[in-house]
Amino acid sequence: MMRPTRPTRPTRPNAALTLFAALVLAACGDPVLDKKIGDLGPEVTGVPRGEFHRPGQPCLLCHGPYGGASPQMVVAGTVFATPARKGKAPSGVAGVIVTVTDSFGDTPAKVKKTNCIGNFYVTVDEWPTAAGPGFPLAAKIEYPSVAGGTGTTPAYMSTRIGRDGSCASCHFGARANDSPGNVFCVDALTDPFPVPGTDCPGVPPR
Amino acid sequence: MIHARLACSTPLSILLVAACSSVDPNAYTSVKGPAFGDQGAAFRPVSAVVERRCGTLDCHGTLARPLRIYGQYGLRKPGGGDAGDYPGGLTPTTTAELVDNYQSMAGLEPELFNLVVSGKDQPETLTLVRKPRLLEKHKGGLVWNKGDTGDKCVIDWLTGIKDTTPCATELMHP
Repeated sequence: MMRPTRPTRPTRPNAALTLFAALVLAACGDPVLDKKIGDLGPEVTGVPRGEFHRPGQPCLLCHGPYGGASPQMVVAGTVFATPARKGKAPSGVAGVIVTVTDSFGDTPAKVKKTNCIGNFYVTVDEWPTAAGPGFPLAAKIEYPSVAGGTGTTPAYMSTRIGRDGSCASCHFGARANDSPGNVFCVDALTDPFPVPGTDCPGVPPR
Repeated sequence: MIHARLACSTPLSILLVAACSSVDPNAYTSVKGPAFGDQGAAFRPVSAVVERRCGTLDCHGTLARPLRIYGQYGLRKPGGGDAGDYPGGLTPTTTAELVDNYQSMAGLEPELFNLVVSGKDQPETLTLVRKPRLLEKHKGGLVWNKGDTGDKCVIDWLTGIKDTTPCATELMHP
């Protein structure tokens, strides 16, 4: 003789359990990175999201594993004409060749050049190995010769990049005790390069 | 039964309270440290290696790191007073920055540091030695292997060997 089975009650989500799950999920975020991303502020009006937006900001905050924005980048930044000075933001320089070499000697699959607002980026797919660059990295820029002609002038970063592919994580604002200043081509007071034309979709940082 | 429990727990409570209240926040203990030298002369070669390999602005050249490293090409100590005191500027690492670097390295695990410098324990017990070898989790990955010139530079300093040739050799590497 079979014992009658007790009818099962439909399961209802427990309010406390739901709250706990929500707290656990919320705890997965990184409040430090969330604040850094929030501090970047909104997009500049008239500049759509794309390769010309947000010059001078740390790209990998959003375009890295945490931010998840597409495309995913391994190294990215902005090259400016001169160092930033108080109350005056320099403009970006177009056509600067950026070479990044990792500790295995690997470089991006194709030559990277800055666009008209000075931005450049290396995506995950453009790096020759699936694991991405092996830190530390060495960096070099070759900017258009200010004397005219088609030549370029090389400039080497004096230290290695330890672990952060965003140039602007370290190179931000004017020179200070915690920043060597923005990435620049010429240590001069005046900009020897042509400023971005009106046909450039980007806007220099303020 | 209840009385028995109270009888057992009361002395324990008194001991716990006594243990908590016996800490003197103004007290300090001296620990033995490795050589610093006049104006940091003995420590400067070691600091130079640590500045180069660990003290970049995206790693330990940051105020938030427990092991905070200042240096000419990394974080500069605020209030240096020189216009050139920015990362990559012309002012070499100052004595004040060397003092801070020394205290930062020694203060990471002061008791263990004391034992290692006194020869009572192995350098490998220190996080300062284990992290760059990746013997324990390190966000910055492998910096050097055991026996490499950078590793030898730090170990020699900890164990009282005065030859700084490994430090100089390490600094010649790209």
